[in-house]
Amino acid sequence: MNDGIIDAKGLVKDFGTTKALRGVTLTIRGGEMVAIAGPSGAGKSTLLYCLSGILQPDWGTVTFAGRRLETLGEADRAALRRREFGFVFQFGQLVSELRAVDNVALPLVIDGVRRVEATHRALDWLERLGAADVARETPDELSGGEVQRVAIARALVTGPRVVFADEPTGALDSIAGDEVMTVLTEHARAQGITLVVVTHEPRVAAYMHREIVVRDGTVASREAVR
Amino acid sequence: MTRLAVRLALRGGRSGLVRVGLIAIALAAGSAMLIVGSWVLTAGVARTDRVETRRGGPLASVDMLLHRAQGVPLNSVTSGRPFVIWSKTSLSAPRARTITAFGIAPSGTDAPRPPGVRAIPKPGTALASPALRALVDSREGASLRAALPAPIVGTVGNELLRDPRELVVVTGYDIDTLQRIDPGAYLLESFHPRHTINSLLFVVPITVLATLVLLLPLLVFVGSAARVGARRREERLATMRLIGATPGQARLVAAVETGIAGIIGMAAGIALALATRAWLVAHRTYAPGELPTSGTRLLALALVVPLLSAISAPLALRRIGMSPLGVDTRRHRRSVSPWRWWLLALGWTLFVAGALLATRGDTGGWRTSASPLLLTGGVVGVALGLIGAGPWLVQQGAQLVERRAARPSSLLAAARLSEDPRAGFRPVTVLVVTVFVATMLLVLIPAARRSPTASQAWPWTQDVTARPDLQVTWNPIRADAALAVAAARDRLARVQGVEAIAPLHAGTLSPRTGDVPIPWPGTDGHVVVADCTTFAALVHGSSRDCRPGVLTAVASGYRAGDSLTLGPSLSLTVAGQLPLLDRAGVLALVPGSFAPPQLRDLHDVSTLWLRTDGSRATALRVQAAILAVAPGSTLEPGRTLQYRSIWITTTRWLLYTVLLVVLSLAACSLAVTVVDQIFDRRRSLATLRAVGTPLSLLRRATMLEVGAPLVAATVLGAVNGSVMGFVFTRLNGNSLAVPWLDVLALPVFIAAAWLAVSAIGLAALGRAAPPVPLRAT
Amino acid sequence: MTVAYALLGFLEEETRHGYDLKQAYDALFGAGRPVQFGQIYATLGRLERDGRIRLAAQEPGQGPERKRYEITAEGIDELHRWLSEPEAPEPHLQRTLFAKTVLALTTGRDAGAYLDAQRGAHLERMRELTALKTGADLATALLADFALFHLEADLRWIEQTRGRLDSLRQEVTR
Ligand SMILES: Nc1ncnc2c1ncn2[C@@H]1O[C@H](COP(=O)(O)OP(=O)(O)OP(=O)(O)O)[C@@H](O)[C@H]1O
Ligand SMILES: [Mg+2]
Repeated sequence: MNDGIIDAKGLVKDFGTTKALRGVTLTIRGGEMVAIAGPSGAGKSTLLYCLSGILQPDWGTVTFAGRRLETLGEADRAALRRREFGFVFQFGQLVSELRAVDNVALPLVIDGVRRVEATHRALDWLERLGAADVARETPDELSGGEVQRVAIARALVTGPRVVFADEPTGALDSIAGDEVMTVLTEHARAQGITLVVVTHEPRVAAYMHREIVVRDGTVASREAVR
Repeated sequence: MTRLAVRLALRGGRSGLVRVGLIAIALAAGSAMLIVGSWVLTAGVARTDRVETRRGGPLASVDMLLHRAQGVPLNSVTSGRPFVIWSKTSLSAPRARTITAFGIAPSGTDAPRPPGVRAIPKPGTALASPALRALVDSREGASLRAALPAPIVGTVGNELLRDPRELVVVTGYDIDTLQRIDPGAYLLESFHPRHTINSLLFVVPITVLATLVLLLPLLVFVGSAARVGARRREERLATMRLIGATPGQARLVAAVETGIAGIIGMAAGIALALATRAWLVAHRTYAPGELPTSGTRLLALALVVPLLSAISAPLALRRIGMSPLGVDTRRHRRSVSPWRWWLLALGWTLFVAGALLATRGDTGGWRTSASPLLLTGGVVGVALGLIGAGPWLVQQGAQLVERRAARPSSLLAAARLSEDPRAGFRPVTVLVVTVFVATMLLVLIPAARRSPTASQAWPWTQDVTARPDLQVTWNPIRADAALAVAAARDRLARVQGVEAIAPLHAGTLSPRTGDVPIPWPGTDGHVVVADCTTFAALVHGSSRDCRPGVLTAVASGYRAGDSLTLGPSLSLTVAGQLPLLDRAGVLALVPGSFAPPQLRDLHDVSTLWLRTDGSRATALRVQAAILAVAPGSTLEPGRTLQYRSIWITTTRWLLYTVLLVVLSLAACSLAVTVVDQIFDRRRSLATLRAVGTPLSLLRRATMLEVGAPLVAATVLGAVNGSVMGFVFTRLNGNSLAVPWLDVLALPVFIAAAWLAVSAIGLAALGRAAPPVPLRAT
Repeated sequence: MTVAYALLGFLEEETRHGYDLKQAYDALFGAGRPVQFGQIYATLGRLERDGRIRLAAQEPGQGPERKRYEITAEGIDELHRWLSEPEAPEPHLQRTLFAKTVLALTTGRDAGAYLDAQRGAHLERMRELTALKTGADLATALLADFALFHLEADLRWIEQTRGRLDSLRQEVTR
């Protein structure tokens, strides 16, 4: 069964004596929205990093659209993360010196898009996410919800195929969290983007099609793929 | 509580150890520098005293010319008290070294003895310094034995020597012989320094200045070291407050940390100083007695730096929020107001005012005294103004780039610099001042060196350089020297390849009071008399004021137009001044062909300068020629004739040493700050890498971020410094000669420092920011 | 409702008197509000009528307290079905969820699997509600939120219990 956009087989990852992942196998289909849930320290973030090529698993394989991630060098994986993936984290994900719009435009500029063009597209995305009025401000001047909107704009601006989010609402109250999840899923659905969200909040997981529960470094339960 | 503080300092993670280590290193370097500096300074003063002492005591002013001319018996000059006749000449030794040859003729057994001489040598015998004895005993110096005035029978002690390496011979004569062979010999009743260095005017200001120049960058370094991991420590201190520690206890932790570093640094500093001393003594640069190792003095000096740093470290950390709620980690764009330029503007205003006053000429009165004050104030104002204006400049540049940047690396760097331009410029603060001072001096000193005469008093200008192709020197003590020179001159003129010959009449002169009182009674002068036109052919720009009967330059204390009577029938008009800090040396450049015959007669030609086609064949022909006519003379590649005072030599040497030390310290501060800033931002950098930013891009951004303020500092400092130096040069009436090599060395050094610092920063970058989002620490 | 399954669960271990059953029930689920004897006997009667349990022994003397019951194969099937099926997510489930978890533990069944299944059922309902919310008017959305927060509370409890199953098992099986 190889119809997934992301296929992970037997992922094992140790940090010293800590066994973060002990053999995780899963498939995520294109356009699917998946929640990864589980208790603290279960290995959710580690799994997300392995799936997105941020970390190299000690054992096992990750295939993205037919490409084996472990065969790529760090530079190639960086390029892959930049072009094919988008990321939203809980904290500290924006460059604090850059204004919101520059933060969003940065991945485009890195990929050689002209500054004017990149800024234009960044503004466009901020507008769509309802963060146009904070475009000229630096991350320190933004509220948590605004930061997440900017981060989502940055994740989406390159037109990624998969967006990975690690506790995207962890620092937000429920209203801001709802708003952030709504814009994220709305745009993911509209663009046909695959969404992988790590969360321990059921209400956030409820925005996803499917939930994968991770316990002690293994997949504890998985719902039938609908 | 104190024990807890000690444990926190030593076990508080790696950043604590790094901080303690860095501060300790800085303090060790600083203490060592201070101790060695104080040694060198005291030794230098003692050396000047010794040199003064062997020049003679109060009665040295008795003019031997007068005595000879008028036949006054020597005994009546001293009213029967014992005396010696004391003469000082020089001989050449291999490798362009000079032997200082003293002649001594005692009035009797109770005659005064020079320091370091246990018994005055009998006529026809000589004492030599240890270095000279070693040289004569070596193969290289064996031929010297014959050239010395008399066989060596003993050794002179260090008390007579300027430094342990000095080549000195003290030859015994009887009075008549000594007076005959050296007309410039003195009569001395005792050996006392004629002039002692005025410590209030010289030692104290130099000490304060040197200490400041060295300590400022050092303290900046300690400050930046104290800042390492400051945020982490702030958080720890805040946590301590949270669990109930008082602010005093929290501060105690910081103080203990600095204290530990201070003790380590002090001990290491003393050890380093002692090692340096051992090295200096082993290389015979200093005699052991010159560098006293008194315990209290070492300890006192070693304490200065830690004490100062105990003040500077808390200053660097004064922004620590010691509240129990922790630190405000939010950063705000801190914009820098353009008012930061006012100090720079004020400095320049003062400077220009001072310069204008100075060009108004020598009207005297308040203007003469106000002008140096204004100039000095201007220089200080500009130096401080540069520190103020730097961040503004960085901010403007960064904002411009931030708006326009097409490359992500310049965007990141510019954003960071424009966010906090002060933090960006802080590490190069020392650099901007150093570059400013350095370029000013670099423009000033060589310009002064190139100028043989100077119309106005400025300490740098007493530097005369001439460099002929070949130089023939005779032992001036030999009675037949004058004849030999005359013969050689005729013979050499016919040698193929010799283009010009300049005879130099050189000797000692004791000018008599003429129309103008001699400023320092007893001053005797070194006189070089040369044919003006020939001299001009060999030496840069010496043709100035080449008129009959005109002394081109004499020591300060005379004014242009003064008439100076040098002998019964010899008087000269002073064309300009050559100020000398070393007052004992008076340099007179006299247009030789017009020089009064009396002056020429007084001084034998002891040196011929030759300009040749530069070929080796010519040199061999010249050698053959002088061997034929004047055996006993030495032929050398043209030695640079340097009538520089010790001051200028020392200044240049000191300048470069200080520059190197200061620049290195500045580079260290820069490195420490850069690494710390990277670690401070590691979360943000790690996240950037996680979302796919290539490491190479972050590297380029870091290099730009370090490099841009560096370039700003260099340009700012260099432009201001060179313009000021140029104005100073003009004020002194010197021609501007840009020392390209020196001037280029500065940016090269700074570029090297930049590369080194960037390399360290880049290494830190890879370690500090792995491509994984970091957990909150 | 839960009382019936609780009794089935106790009887699965061993045959018991009505009195024993009341004691056991109160110990695990009573929580200061002991169950009435009447309710126990009525439930036993209903279960016996439906064939889930049967009389194992009648000891000398009269009255219901002299009767000893045992579980039938049908009763075991019924209990098993109940324990492995997630409850339909609706309000005020906590007693049932708790009873199911404890009974699963005491009868040696996989309580974790049950909780995971329950979690799935809850999440599915939450997904429906979340879907309902999108594009709905505010009143509807707020009503959906009301249900969502309650379900989330249940889910949190499920997650909490799931994380401490081992300790709970030790406690209830002594
Ligand atoms: N860089 C690391 N070095 C050492 N141990 C790590 C590292 N990253 C993760 N771990 C360990 O691996 C295990 C799984 O961590 P992970 O961050 O994946 O958990 P998680 O499910 O995301 O937890 P949480 O919900 O708290 O974020 C934990 O025990 C953690 O301590
Ligand atoms: Mg995590």
